[in-house]
Amino acid sequence: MADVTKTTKVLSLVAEFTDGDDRTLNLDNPKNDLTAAQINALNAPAANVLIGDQDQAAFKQFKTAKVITSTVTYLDLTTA
Amino acid sequence: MAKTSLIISNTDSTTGKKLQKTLTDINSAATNDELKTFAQAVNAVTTNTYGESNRVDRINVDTEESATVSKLFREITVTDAAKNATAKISFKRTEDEASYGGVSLTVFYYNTQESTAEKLTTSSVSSEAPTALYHVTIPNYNGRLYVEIEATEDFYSEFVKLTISS
Repeated sequence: MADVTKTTKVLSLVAEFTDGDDRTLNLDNPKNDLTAAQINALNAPAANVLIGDQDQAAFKQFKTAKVITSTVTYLDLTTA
Repeated sequence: MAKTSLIISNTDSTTGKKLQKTLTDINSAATNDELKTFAQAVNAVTTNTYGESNRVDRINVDTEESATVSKLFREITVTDAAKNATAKISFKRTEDEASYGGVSLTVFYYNTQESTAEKLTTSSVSSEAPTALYHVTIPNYNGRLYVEIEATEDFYSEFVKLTISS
């Protein structure tokens, strides 16, 4: 059995709330070639849906968006 | 205080694989339409090709110390009288706890959140299975609807999940 390599992608969105707190949303399987317009399109519907986790402050905006690609290699431990 | 979460369930139209995203700290005052719009926007940035959303609350119920009545109010607005309002209640117990016997849940429906509200209807479910899913449908309902769950017997449960949709 050989080593196994798996690659995963996560869209990491940092949301800012009116009290200054941040909260990160991680969404698996982001689309390839995401654009800023697609991310910004999340702002309007998020405004009355997301709340901060400390004092339930209202959502303000998404500050950053990152696509994180992780490659994990599972080593084959059966080989000498 | 029950925590409000939004669970977005998707079925990939290519693979048929079930995908699920759970977002916590959701504004309980958000309307179904706002939640659905947000869920659709989330789906637009991921590879899921089909999605739907429902309001979901999860509460922990444990009546080991006393016959505590656990209540959870959720609200939906049904605008199309031709559609049914459906409450889906699922619960799961650990294998060991299942030996304690059956569970009895009672579901009440109100048209207002006031505690003195007149009950529209009542439905009960009992099960000895360690897991179960129970659907309650209110046909031809038009307006705001509040759903309350009571665990009226000893209830050793990992969770009770209530989803209401229209």
